[in-house]
Amino acid sequence: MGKTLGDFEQMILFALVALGEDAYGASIRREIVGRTGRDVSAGAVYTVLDRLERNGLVVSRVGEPTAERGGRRKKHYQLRADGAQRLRETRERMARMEDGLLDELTRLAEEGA
Amino acid sequence: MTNHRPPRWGSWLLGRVMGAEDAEFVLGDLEEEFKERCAEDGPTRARRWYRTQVFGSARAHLSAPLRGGLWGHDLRYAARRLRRAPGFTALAVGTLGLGIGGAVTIGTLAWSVLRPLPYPEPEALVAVWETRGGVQRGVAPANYLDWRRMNAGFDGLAAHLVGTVAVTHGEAATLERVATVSGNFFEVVGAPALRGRTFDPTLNPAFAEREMVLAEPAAGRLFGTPSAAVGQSLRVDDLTYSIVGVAPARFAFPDEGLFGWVRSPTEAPEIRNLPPDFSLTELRDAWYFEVVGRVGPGETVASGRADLEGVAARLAETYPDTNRESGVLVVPLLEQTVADFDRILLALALAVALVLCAAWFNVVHLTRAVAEGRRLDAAVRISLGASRGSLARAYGLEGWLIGLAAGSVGLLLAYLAIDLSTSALLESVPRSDEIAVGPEAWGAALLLGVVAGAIVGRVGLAVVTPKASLRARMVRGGRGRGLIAAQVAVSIAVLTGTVLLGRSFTELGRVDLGFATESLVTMRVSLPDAPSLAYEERLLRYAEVERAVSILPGVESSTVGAELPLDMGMGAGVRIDGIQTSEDPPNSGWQPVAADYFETMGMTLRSGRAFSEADGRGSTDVAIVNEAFARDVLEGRDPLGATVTMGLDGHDRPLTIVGIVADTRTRGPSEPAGPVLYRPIDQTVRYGAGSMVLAARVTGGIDMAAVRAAVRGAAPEMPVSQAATGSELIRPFRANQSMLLTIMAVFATVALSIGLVGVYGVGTHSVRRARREIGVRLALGATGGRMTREIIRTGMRSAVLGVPFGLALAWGVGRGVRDLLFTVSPTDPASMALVVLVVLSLTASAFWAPARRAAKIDPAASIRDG
Repeated sequence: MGKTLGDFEQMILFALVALGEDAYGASIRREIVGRTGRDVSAGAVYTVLDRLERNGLVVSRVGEPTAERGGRRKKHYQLRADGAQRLRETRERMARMEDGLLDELTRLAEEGA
Repeated sequence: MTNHRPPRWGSWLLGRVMGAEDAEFVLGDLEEEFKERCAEDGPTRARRWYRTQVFGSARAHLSAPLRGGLWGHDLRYAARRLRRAPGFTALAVGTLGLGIGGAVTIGTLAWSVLRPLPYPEPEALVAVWETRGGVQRGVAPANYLDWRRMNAGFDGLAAHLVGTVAVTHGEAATLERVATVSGNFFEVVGAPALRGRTFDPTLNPAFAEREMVLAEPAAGRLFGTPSAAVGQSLRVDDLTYSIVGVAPARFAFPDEGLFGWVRSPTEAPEIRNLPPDFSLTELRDAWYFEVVGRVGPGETVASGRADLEGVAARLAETYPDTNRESGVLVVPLLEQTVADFDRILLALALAVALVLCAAWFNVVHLTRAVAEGRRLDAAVRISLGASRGSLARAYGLEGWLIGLAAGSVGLLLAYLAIDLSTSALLESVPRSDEIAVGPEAWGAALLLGVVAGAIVGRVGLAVVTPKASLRARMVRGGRGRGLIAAQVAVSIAVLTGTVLLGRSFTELGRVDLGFATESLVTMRVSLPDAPSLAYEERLLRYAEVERAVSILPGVESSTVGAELPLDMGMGAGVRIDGIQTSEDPPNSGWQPVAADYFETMGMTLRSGRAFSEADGRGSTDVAIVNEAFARDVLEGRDPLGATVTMGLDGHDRPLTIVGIVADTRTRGPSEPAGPVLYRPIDQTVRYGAGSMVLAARVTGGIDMAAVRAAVRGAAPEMPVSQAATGSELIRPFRANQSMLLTIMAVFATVALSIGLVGVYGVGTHSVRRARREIGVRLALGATGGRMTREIIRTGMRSAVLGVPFGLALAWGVGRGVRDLLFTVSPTDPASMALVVLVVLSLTASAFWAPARRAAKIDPAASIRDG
């Protein structure tokens, strides 16, 4: 069993699941912003993607330069099986942890005890 | 879609922080989204969004856990910055590399000349000499034996004597240099055998078998391996020796390139070919031996010397006739071996230090110039939260990379330079083919590189981080002016040394040797069985060989003689007209020569006649003397017709002088001629004639192989050695000079190159700083040519400041090499003037390129950009 993934890492991996073939820096960022409302910087997305790639959870390939990007190239990302498995493990661990506790959690949050 | 574009500073900033590759994808994403946002929210909000994104991305990049850990990340960053400034990188690596390469090359050459004696406790070893009226002599056999018996300060005193002998192995005989040594020789020097054993001093020499120790290369040559040689036997002249051991190749005492060491059957080294009525061990006034001693435990060189002086004083009382004026001279062996090289080494070490300093100064200056351009970059990084530590790491690593690269370049240069200089030295310096860049050199190069790199890193950091203001001020002190002056000074000093040595070397080659070297062939031939032949028989054998050579096509004349005109060592006391001029008769060289010796050697007859076939046994004993003999021995009296006696070979019949020949440089080309008396070989009675010089004067090209073949045909048993053309004879005498000249030439090239690079760097840097001023002047109508001249003139003012310092240093260098200079004054004004001229012109030319660039500055652009 691998190391548990951080929040931001999980978000990015889920974005890859959602985007499939269309995943690259900007689309990933937008997916995260769109789903969570959390505004993250493009640099931060790449920093994490970089780390995930080094850990063998994602792969990247460099595309062709396009005009709307000011003649710059895109870097596409794809989830690897290892990454998918690790994400699932992390989620399952979390689910086991919260199993039967959500009701109590809601009560505590509302009562403010 | 609108045609709004994101602000350019974003791409500049991210490019700087992340590096171009990583920034590309981020910037692409941002531009794409920026355009969308412009369309949806308008350009103002899109710009605000963009700004937040750029700063956020930069901060995220800087604060992220780093790829490959801190160092890996910083290493990549450092490498990237070096790639981005290829000019700086190349200059820094090149300059430091040159300095390190020069230092390593000189260190390697010097080390090979001066490597410490490879014996245990070398500081206890001394060379011992006799003195006679204050003049250094060898040691007389009887005195040596008494010293051994009577001294209390030495563990041992060993005598040795190197000679050329004929060694026969199977059918082939060769002439080899062999040391005849006392039985305790290896014990005293402290050298163990590589295979087998050395001589056992406890064995009674009178009963010991004749034993020999071979040198490793000789053993390899004759028997394949050192082990195979042990237990074999060899004929040395007419005696058989059994090989008891092999000495390692690095054991080179008392001389390099010895074939082996033979032990005498007596306590003192044996001298063969002496007249039978000579009792070697009773001689107190013939200084045959050289002696090496090891001072005893608890003793010092000084106490050993005092002890031996006491012994010499007692001997002087016992044998007043021979030992009255006799004293001892005890010299540490290291000092004797290295002679005046220690001073030269010191001078070289100093020079190496100067060149290295010059290289470092240059690079520091360069770093400063480049770092000034990077202040902005550093400021951006710091304001975005990069720690001082990370900057320090980045600059430190950058310095390291430069240092390592420079160390490698230096090593490469050292390999090249050593290769070049050894091939140049091969012919004149023994074992120069073994000079190689060793592990010490590797260590030194890398160490120098790393230290230099560390300095570069510190300087860079000091310039870009304002906190380090003190250090920054320190490195900023001593501006370009001082740097230029220093480079000029060092260049002048080193180049002067080279020019002096070079001129001296040329002069030495131009000396009138007193004989004609062109078309001359010489070689040494020897008679292995000489001791068993009657004297007349020996001479006949040489005459046969000489005749065989004389009938070769192209041979104009040929001769035999005891020694070559350039290296005459045999001597004896002279009595004139039977009148004893003093207690100690004047000493003169003497040479038995065949009839055509003077003609073949190309020596000039000044007056009287040459020898002829008629000057044989039974006719009047005649002699020919050289001019130095007439001047020094006869003190100006007319030599022709004078009669002298020389008690050389057991007969002291008076010799009538019939001719005077011109002097030859009997002690080598750099020494004045000594007095020499020549006698017809047929009139000598007991000259040893173990080996002789055979010489021929040839027209139409020298065919050495044909001469060798003729000798072999006439006398197959006679080994030939030292075959040389006349012009090659001078080589060994120039060996030291040629070694030092090579070192100095390498050195001068390095110093000059570094100096010029430095001058170029300073010029470029000052032009860049003065860009705006130059632009203004050009805008106000100054012509490009005028600007060029003015910049060169300003630079040259600093250069001229260095000249007096350079001359002072050059004076020191001149004194350092003084003893090696021949007919050239160490403060030769012409050489110095030439050097100053060359250095200043080169400096001016190094300023030329940056000055030209200044003249082409676009005034408008320079004023706008500052």
